[in-house]
Amino acid sequence: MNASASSPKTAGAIWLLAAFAAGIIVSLTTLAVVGRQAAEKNFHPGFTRFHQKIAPDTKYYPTIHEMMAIVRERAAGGKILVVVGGNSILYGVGQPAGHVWTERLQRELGPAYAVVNLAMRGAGVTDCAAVVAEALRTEFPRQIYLANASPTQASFPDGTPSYRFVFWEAIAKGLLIDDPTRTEAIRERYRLRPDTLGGLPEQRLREALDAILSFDDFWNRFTFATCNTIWTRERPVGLDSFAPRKIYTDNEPDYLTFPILDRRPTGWRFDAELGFSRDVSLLAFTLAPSGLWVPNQPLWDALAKSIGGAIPPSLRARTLIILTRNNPYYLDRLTPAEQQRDDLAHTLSVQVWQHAGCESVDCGRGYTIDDYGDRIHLSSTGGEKLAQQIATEVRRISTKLQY
Amino acid sequence: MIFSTYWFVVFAALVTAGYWLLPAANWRLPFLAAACMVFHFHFAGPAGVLPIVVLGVVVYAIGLSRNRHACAVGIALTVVALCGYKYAVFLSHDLLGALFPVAAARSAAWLSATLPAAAPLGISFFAFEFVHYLYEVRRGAEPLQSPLRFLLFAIFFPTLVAGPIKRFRDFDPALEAGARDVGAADVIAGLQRIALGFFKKIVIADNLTAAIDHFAPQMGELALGSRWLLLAAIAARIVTDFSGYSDIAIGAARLLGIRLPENFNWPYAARNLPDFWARWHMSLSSWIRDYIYIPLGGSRVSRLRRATNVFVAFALCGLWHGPAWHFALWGIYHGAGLALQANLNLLPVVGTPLGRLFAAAPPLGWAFTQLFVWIGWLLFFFPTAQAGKMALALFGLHA
Repeated sequence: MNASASSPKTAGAIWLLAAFAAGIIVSLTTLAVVGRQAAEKNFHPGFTRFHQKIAPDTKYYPTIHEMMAIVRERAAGGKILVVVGGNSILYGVGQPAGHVWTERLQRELGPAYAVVNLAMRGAGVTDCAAVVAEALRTEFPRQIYLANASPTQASFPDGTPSYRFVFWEAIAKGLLIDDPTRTEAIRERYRLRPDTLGGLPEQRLREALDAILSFDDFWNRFTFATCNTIWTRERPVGLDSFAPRKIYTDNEPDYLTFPILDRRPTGWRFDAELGFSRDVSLLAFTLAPSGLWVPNQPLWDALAKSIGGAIPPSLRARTLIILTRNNPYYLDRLTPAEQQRDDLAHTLSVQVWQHAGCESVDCGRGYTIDDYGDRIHLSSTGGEKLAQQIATEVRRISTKLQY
Repeated sequence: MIFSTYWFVVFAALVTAGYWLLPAANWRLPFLAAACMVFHFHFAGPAGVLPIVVLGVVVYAIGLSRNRHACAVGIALTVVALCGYKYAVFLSHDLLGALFPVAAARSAAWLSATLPAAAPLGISFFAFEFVHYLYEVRRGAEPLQSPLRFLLFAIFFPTLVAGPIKRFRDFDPALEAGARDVGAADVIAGLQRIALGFFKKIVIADNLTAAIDHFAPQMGELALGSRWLLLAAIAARIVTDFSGYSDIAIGAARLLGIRLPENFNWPYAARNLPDFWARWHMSLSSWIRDYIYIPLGGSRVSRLRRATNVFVAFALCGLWHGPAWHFALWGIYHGAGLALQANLNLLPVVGTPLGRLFAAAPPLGWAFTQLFVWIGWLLFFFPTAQAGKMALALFGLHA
């Protein structure tokens, strides 16, 4: 082998390579600029929520800038921002477009408020919507973030595994508060549970690249507006598979139109759902010989600790956590002792969240069976009740925070 | 898969840039070797690196000795390592279990406690490359003297996970030529090839995989035309997935000026089965030919023996893809097809007319070949019973 590098051998080759490299740099720069512009403005006209065809369920992963653009458009004009996060309950499963509880909440609150539903199926307190609200904390200082949780449900500091991509995208783009407690909580999470690390290093590398090249923003807009390139089972076969996502409307079914047996099952389905209702508070308390329920303290301490690591202190006062109850169709069939335990679990959870500095409210008490579509999700009528209750809370918090 | 990760993309970009920026050509190979070690360590972890290090040192030392007996021992050792890591649980459970269930249960418990959960990264590829190396040295080929060159042959990162299976007498000069003469045209050709590979893999194969996963379990409920469409999707998926990977590997090597052997040459244009195997996964089929079929006697033996050799070679070819019966059956299926084609004129009544018909109408030969190959993919993709049901469903039959 030659001792010195003799390649590229000719000036022509050098120029060719330089031109090629320049072409790559110019192309990537152009794509990055286009990507940044792609999500600067909202491209979801008439947005209600990330329905199934524009959600991770169908391999569509909304970006932080895409969601921020939706919020910006909705909350323009100095409105008080209400960002709704949490899981399918607050997303409004079983509530068709036009009857989603957040639409009712918007009507209840009036034009001074802007309600944006960024809840997603299976999401937790710290997922997508929480990240968006935090990223917009300076731009929209008059904001309230609300999400739901079940009793003793701990919060992951960087989100649930399915949705943590939003958190890490925001971190890569420098949009979040530098909270040492949260950083330590994340470190501890993966130290204690390395099995949950999964593809996180790869995810973080992806987000670091995306922070420079903005390919996710570009691609989301392209697949939404021009041509979808990812086939999922929810899409038709054939050329329509590549139709842009914008053609799909929010077609969430209406629980109230479901057969009554679907909403009030019997047999093994009932037994299974009753078991789940019982399990909500099963580990939270032990029954003392005196007949009183005694809190299982390590579990409650873990909840308090998880809140400390999940939500930066400066954001807690504007955070409203909703403790949602199960359908009375099941709760009424628990034993009196189990009902008491379930009740205590909700009450104590509210206190733990409040003690951490958040606002918290227990919802579902007094709701009827028809207010639910299944064990946990609310029907449109239940959604109306929730909207009324939350509107009161939102107004109270707004006053308290001098919005 | 590894090539679809951002880590790989960043790694390949950094390695290419570093390789190009080195001021002296003779620094490039050590740099490349270091990069390959980083790659291997990253994806295989310390436990996964150990087998290739141990086996590599042994194979290298044996190669230097040029001792024929030692080479034979080295080949046996490599095969034992491959079987131990990749096939021990399968052989213990499926073969030993059928005859001696108690012993098989004990063996399974011991194996699961002893072996890593997954076989070492790329063992199917580097084991075949080591066998080839020792076999050729045993036949008198000059072994690789430089440990650096041998290291690069063993863990060259573009080929480590999905081939092509390299031949050291081609690869070694290609390494040197790459380090010395890499040019702008190589980078352009490499990037084009990588882009083609990613397009095949991500845009076509991954979408087809999602559709196949969805429709395959309900194949019997589809209309007849849709069942054949599903088969076409399966055929398209495997060729785009695998050849896409090969394109990325070949392209990544080309960025460094290193030319790798081609692995695919329009396999669905094949007019007969030997033609298909001359176009499909060429680095594997030529390996099977050179190191299994020919040593068994090849075509210089009786018809019966030749047919047996084909069966053995293709059963092993099938098993190479994974430790499961359906892979072995897929290989045997192709072995049977090749044996039948080679002896078509011996078939009573229909043999000679069929042979004439295929000779007179090449498109017919092509259609039969593709039908045979495509239906065979069912065995490759699915457990045997499901593959059988799906094959029947193609013809409107239900098991």
